[in-house]
Amino acid sequence: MSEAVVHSNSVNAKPPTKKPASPMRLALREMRKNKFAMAGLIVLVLMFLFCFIGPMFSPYSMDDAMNIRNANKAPSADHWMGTDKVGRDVLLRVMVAGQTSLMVGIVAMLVTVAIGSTLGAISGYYRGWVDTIIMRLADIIMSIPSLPVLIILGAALSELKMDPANRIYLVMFLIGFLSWPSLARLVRGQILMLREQEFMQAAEVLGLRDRRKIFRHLLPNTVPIIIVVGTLAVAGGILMESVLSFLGLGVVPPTPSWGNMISAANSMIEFQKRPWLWIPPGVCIFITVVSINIMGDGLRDALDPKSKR
Amino acid sequence: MTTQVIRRLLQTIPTLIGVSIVLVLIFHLIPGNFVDSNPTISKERATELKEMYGLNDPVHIKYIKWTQGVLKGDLGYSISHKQPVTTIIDRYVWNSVLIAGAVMVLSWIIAIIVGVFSAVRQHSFFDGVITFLVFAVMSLPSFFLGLLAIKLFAVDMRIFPIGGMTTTGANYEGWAHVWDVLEHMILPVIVLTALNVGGLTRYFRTSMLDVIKQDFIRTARAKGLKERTVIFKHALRNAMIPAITLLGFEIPSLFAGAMITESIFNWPGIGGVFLDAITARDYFLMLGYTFFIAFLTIIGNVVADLMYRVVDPRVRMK
Amino acid sequence: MANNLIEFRNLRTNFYTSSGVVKAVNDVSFSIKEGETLCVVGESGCGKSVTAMSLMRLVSPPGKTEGGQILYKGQDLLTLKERDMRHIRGNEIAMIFQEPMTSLNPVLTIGDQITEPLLLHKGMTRRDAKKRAIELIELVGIPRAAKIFDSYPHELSGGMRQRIMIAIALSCDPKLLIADEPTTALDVTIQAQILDLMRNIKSEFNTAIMMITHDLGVVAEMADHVVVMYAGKVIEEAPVHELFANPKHPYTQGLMRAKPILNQRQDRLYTIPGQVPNPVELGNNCYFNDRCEHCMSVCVDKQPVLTTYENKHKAACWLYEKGGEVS
Repeated sequence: MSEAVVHSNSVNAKPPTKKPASPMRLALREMRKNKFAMAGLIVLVLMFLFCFIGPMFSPYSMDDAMNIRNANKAPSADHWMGTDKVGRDVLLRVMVAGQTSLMVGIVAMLVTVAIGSTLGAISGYYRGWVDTIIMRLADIIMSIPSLPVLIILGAALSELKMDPANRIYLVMFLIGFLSWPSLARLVRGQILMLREQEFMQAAEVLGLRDRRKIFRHLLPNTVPIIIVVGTLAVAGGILMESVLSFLGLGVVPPTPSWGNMISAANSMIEFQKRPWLWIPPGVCIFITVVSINIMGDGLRDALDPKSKR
Repeated sequence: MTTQVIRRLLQTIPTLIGVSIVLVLIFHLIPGNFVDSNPTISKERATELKEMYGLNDPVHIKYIKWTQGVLKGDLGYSISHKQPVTTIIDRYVWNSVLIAGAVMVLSWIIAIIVGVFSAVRQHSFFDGVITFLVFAVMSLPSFFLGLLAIKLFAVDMRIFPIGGMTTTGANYEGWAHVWDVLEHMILPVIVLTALNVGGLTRYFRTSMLDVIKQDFIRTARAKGLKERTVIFKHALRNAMIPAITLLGFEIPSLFAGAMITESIFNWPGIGGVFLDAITARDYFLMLGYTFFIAFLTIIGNVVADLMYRVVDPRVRMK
Repeated sequence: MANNLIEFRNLRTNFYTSSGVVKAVNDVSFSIKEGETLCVVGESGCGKSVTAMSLMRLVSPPGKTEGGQILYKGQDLLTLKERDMRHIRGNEIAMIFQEPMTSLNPVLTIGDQITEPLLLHKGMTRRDAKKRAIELIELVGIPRAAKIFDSYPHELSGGMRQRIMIAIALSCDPKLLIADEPTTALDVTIQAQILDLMRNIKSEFNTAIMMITHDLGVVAEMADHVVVMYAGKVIEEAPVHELFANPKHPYTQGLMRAKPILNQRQDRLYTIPGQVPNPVELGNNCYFNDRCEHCMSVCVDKQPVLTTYENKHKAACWLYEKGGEVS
């Protein structure tokens, strides 16, 4: 035992093998492992490129004069997705319509997130009567069936003979406005929990202003949940727009959207004889929404492992 | 229990008042009405009609009149159908319930079975396929799936009727009639089930995954129970508890009628009637229907809440 | 001497995690005699629970038992068909767990859960099973058994739930009761009651107990024989008196010093320096070497094997091997 080396106590804890990563980076790493979610993201990026860059490569232009002689042609080498009843190239219209539909989804989401997170944060931070009023309002809006109301409002917009170019903004806003309450509830719940934690007591001691405490200290902590809800809200917005436009009550011609393109083919003859008019936009809606949903689900798993519902 | 129910019902009153105010306001602000949009009505008759239906009243008078009606169980008078709104709802809502009920039963059965197996074999090939399918059906716009189904199964293959509830001019009696209606139901029910089943399957899958990880599942296995007993007795029962509350939330959709699908398949349900009411500017019918659904939503929440207390022994009321 | 009831032979259970293969149970051999209480001691993560779960064949993915044998009455449990294994679980080998609060199904009544193995393994009628269940509830020391039978777990305290878990485990008169840290989650006074209960059971039914714990106090009170595990390996094994009188492995010695002794003032409670090694990066050396105060060069180069010394004492340490001086 002469060789026994007395091991010094200085060899304490080994340094952890991985550097501590920010929750956001951890989430991204988690997300990258999720093949489903990554595939969704890639498809989504491709869809954006298709809609926004695609038209530049098209030999046709949205300003082309209508050409009745070229109307209702089946897909061919010249027109990959055929032409519509006034001779416009369906492929180009699908791409341009995609711009509208994607934008409606995104703007509606931004409206939802802006209203939902602000009201949720205020409600959770101040509690008391402010909370009661905001949450009652949320209850009321959640109880009103959104599709019938959107349909009624869409009909009202038609009645007002609103300029189609402006109408689209109102549609985005309305869709977004009707879906803020569920986000507000989630954010409120998080804020209620967060405000009891120590770092907020520190903020209290520092004497920060309420606005700063809410928007700089509390809300950033709810970002994961907002990202998840926001992602899924884009999908919801696109679907809602397509339904409204299909009924002729959302985005109206001449502005093309995936929904109103399908609606334009809703006569028995078009429907039966010219599937190239309505199947491509439908497939586009489907591909977009499915990739957003899959991505959103992956994000939820990565960002918010606790609430998997 | 009774006091709990009563208290919970009383809590809904402010929400109901809020909803009614918002709805009447929306309808007040909407331009146009059935009188002005109908060119065949003479000027004198128009003034008379507007007076009769209170179309020129200020908003608070409209609200009071309408609320008084609602409290007496009167949702107003449908102009396009020339009948009270409640009669219209009563006539068409059951057709909607027929479809929605079938959809509900079907989607719950499918969702429970598929969700459970998907959870038990998490990360398997089966689970992957199911997960993808679930997202796929959740992402289809209802009208597109409806049109696609009609094109494929009714127009191209001619397996099912294109639409309606009965074969026109056939006038079947008895079982033949039942069979005829069933045949017309199949396509819309399939479409709606497809749209519905995704979310529910997902729900059961996550719910089961949560439960399977719990300690008491390990206890159950350590008792030597069959895996089938562990999953269907010990795990599923726990997963069902939160699911039961979903039943409450589904009450409104049971009666709301799937507007888009009903109108695409020409099914005489309340949802389709609502869509028609818009073109006719049938003010009272639209308002009545929307309020009816909002009311059911609020009641559905209460039912969900109470059901949860009944089924979960941990919060069961004494 | 009594026969071996359970014999672990070179058991290996690995976990396939994203950061690598974890050898949770690494070539473990020991045996449990009929009617004996054997304690498995070690820090959390040393593989003691996984050893028990391997015995029940309930290691869940990503874990997998991949080598060795577990002999029960001479037959290898690891090669048994799942059907036959089910007949052993809960019937001949029963198990209770650390968390009494979550180990019972919240939506089934206590009665449901106690009668389940009786109906399954003993083929009793519902009426007989109920009668037996009520006897069992009384046996584990809970009054008003008939009322408890119809209660739900959330209506009982932690100590009562652990008693119910014991009642469930005892329902089929098992030959072996595995108790995985049965008292860790309970209050001190309740801990003593549960240990008393288990001792009574052992003397009354001659049930062998495999008790997993990190608490040497529990070991001193309960054990006939002790197995010490470190990083997936058995590093020392001895009858309880021998182990306490003459601990051989520096890790065991450290554990004993780390235990506060009543009526004896110590300036500072001793702690073993360092941390349990990362289970993914284990080399061919003594896993304790970097925390050991007697570490020699051989300890870093070669793994010691479990060797039998006097008084049925086994240890895996170069300090007691001639090989230590050779290299």
